Amino acid sequence: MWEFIYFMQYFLTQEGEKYLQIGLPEKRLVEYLEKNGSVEIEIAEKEIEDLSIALLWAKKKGLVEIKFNKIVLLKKPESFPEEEALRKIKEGRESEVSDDLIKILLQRNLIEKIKYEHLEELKGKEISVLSSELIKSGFWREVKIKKYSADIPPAEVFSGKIHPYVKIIKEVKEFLISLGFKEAKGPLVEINFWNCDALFMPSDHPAREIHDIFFVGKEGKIKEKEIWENVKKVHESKWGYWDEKLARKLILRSHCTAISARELAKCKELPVKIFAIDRVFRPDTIDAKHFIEFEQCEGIVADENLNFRHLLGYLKEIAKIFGSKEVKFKPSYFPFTEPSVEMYVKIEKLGWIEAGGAGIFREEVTNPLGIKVPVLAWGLGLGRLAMLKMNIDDIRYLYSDDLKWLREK
Amino acid sequence: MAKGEIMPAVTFNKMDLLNLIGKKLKDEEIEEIVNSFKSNVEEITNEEIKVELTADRIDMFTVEGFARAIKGLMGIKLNEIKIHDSKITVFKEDVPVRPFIACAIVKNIKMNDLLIKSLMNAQEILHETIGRKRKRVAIGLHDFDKIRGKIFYKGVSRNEKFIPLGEKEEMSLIDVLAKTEKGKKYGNLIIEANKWPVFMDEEGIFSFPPILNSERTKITENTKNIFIDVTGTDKDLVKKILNILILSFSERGCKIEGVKIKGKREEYTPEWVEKSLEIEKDYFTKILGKEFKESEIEKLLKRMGYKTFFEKDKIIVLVPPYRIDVFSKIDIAEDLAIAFGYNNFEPELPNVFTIGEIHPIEKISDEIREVLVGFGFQEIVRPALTNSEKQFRKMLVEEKETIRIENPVSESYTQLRVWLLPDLMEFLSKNTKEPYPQKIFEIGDVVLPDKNEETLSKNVRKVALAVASSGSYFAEVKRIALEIAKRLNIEISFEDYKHPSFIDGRCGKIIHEKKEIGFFGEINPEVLENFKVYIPVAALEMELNPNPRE
Repeated sequence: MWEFIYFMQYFLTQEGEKYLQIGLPEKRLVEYLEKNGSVEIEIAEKEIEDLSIALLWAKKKGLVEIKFNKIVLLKKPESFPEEEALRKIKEGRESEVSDDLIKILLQRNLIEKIKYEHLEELKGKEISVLSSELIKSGFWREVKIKKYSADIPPAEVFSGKIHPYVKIIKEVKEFLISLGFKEAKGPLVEINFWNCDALFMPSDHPAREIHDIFFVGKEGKIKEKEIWENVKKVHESKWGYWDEKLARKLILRSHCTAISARELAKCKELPVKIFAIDRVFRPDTIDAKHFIEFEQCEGIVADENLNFRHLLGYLKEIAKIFGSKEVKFKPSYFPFTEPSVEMYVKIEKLGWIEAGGAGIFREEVTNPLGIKVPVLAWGLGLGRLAMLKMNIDDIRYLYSDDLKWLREK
Repeated sequence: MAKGEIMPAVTFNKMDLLNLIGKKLKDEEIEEIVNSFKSNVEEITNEEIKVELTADRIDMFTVEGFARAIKGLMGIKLNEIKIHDSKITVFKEDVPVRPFIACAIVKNIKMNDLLIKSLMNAQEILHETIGRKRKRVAIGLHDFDKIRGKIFYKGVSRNEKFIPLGEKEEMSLIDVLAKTEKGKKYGNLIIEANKWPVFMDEEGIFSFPPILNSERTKITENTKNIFIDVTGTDKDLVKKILNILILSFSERGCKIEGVKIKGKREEYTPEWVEKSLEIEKDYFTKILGKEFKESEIEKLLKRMGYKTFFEKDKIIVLVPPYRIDVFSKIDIAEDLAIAFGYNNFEPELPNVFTIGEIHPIEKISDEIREVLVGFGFQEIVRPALTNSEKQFRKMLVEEKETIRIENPVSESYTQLRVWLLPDLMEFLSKNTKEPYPQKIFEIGDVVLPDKNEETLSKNVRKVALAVASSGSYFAEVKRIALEIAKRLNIEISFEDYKHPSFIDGRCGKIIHEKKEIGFFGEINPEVLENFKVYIPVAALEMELNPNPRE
């Protein structure tokens, strides 16, 4: 039947297509009234799609009237010629449709006239762009469509993308959330107290000196007076001294364990499972392996009756982030945990690599914070993980300023 | 978790180590045993073994202590260490700048190069780590046979003289500080005090802690007996460090003699006492999640150097005097786990039911990422540290209060950023050879000073974006602001705005509940010049947590 289509002058608009499918609005209204009797406008509005259009045409055709806010059916016509006309036009039999009906359909914006004039000029010619009108009219059969070579490289197009490092961080987060960990946040500028003292690091610990922590030159205000006193006591009894002034100093957070300490201090209900992935700062020489900022991933689990085997259990689970089923543990040392563990995972081609540190918080850490149950704590080498996954060997690429690299990554 | 620790790396002579252990071991065997402690083997050559140690096990910093730990773990019988009496008294006066001392005498030393070297290494690492660069503790070793008559520890005038180690002429103490290498390095520890600490005998000063020993009593290959002085500012630590040295010498087969220290009170050093810890019977099971039989506990703890006794409902553990890291029973539990082998425990996931959740600010950040990627933007991630040149001057903005660091390592990173846009501009300036249009965004925290906060500052999560392209993107950027607001579920409105970084008349303020939460517009060509970006840039910056407490 393509020859009919060829001569077509009209085609259905979106609205036309819709009514052809679900029926004209006035038809649907009449059928509804016939079935349910007179009905209030408010109700009809909910039941009948495009009620205002339906009322407009049904009243115009004298099919319904409105009495006391109710729509009343006056008569039911034998047929709805517009609907029949739409079907014919759709099927390419527009010659069977009367001019009057065409006019009504155009008026109701159910059909559109195809503009033929310029199409005629294209007959037999080669075109590069296939227009919407060429397709609607079927005239595309009368033109040649220019051939493109599939093997010519296209002009560059760059899609928007999430940073690959952010993507990896998101994957890790999703994994931890699936294990029941809730994400916590803390301030980038931290009070030394939360970063070190609350973690039982002695005032003169080497990792607290200016070459390991950035100082901000001001003192913070401690709100938790009771915890402050508790920490003071534990330092004075176990280390023999405590530098309160140092504890008050503001610094840039040097590890996310500061967030864990704050969370434990806030903790009201057990069990607790918390993680943090956030920026930390350490003075260092800036080269391919070191930068002064990086992300850390830390987590804690606090509950009654937790033990060392449970710590290893979580580590074995977390090792999956590295894509490793095998995991190995080694004794280690952190000032705030005992026992302390280092975790190694097996990575294809690289073998065993250090993946993170963990331990059970010392009572010297938990008691001053008011926590009376074991707290398992672990941390991951997130930078290492990201560099592995992104296949880079320069840590500075994590905060890369190379757009070409980002676009290609 | 933070490494948070300086891991001292030490190199031991391999032959010396194996002789001390008393057993031939292959390199792989050494490595396996060493790695089952907290320490790590870094390298083994024919002559040397380099290990990374942890800061807690000070007793393993010396080759003798290290060998003893290995012997224990291998089940080799350990020597009993006994202290004899020397009948020597050190008369101690009040020296406020360095009030605490501990001394001992070591007899029957068979001096050789290896021993001299290991003694030097031990002193150096103890000074640098636990001694906190000699501040808390400093060690002096002297040829005991060169000391004449009574020994005194006292504070003297800076004009007193002696011949310091390595010098030929007498020098005053003040000259030692001014002219010798050690004096310059450690002088600050005592310089402000009125009286400076010295050890003296009939012939005068023979030790000037924590700076230098004397030439007269220096250790040579002919030294047979040694006088040890440990001085410091920490009463317990001087004694503990002396114990570490006692451990070393006695592992070498020397005889150790104690010394009476007579000041206001009388003391006897070394204080060689085994600390006794009482531990509940079920404690190890509770902490480690595994049942151990009594015989097993005894055997495993013996390998870590402890003596164990079992009473009706408790375990008594005696801690060797050189294990200065052991505070409480948890430390014993860890050593039990180490002796058993961490990898011999069966990991178990406990049944701790909690509901995981992303932080709201991260959730909203992810949603905005999605919006901007949809608009064709490439995400970038930049350091939070920056400098005022970038943050203010290049952006033509007046300098504001920021969080500055006192000890920056580079001029590029001296303060925390208070807005993101300068970093986007810098990013564009680094990529002028890349095809345009360039559409980039960053979502990150800035830190704003805030006197009301306990840290005198607060994190603010922001988004910033920039379009570098010919043509005007003013309207598009405004459109994106609306889309972001829709995702944040907030109402925003716009107002004309004068901002020096933007072209006058092409900048708008973004307002939410009468508060400015951001701005957008076309970047001032002078800013573009400053960054050497020679293409129009439209940009936007806005807060992502405008209602942080809701």
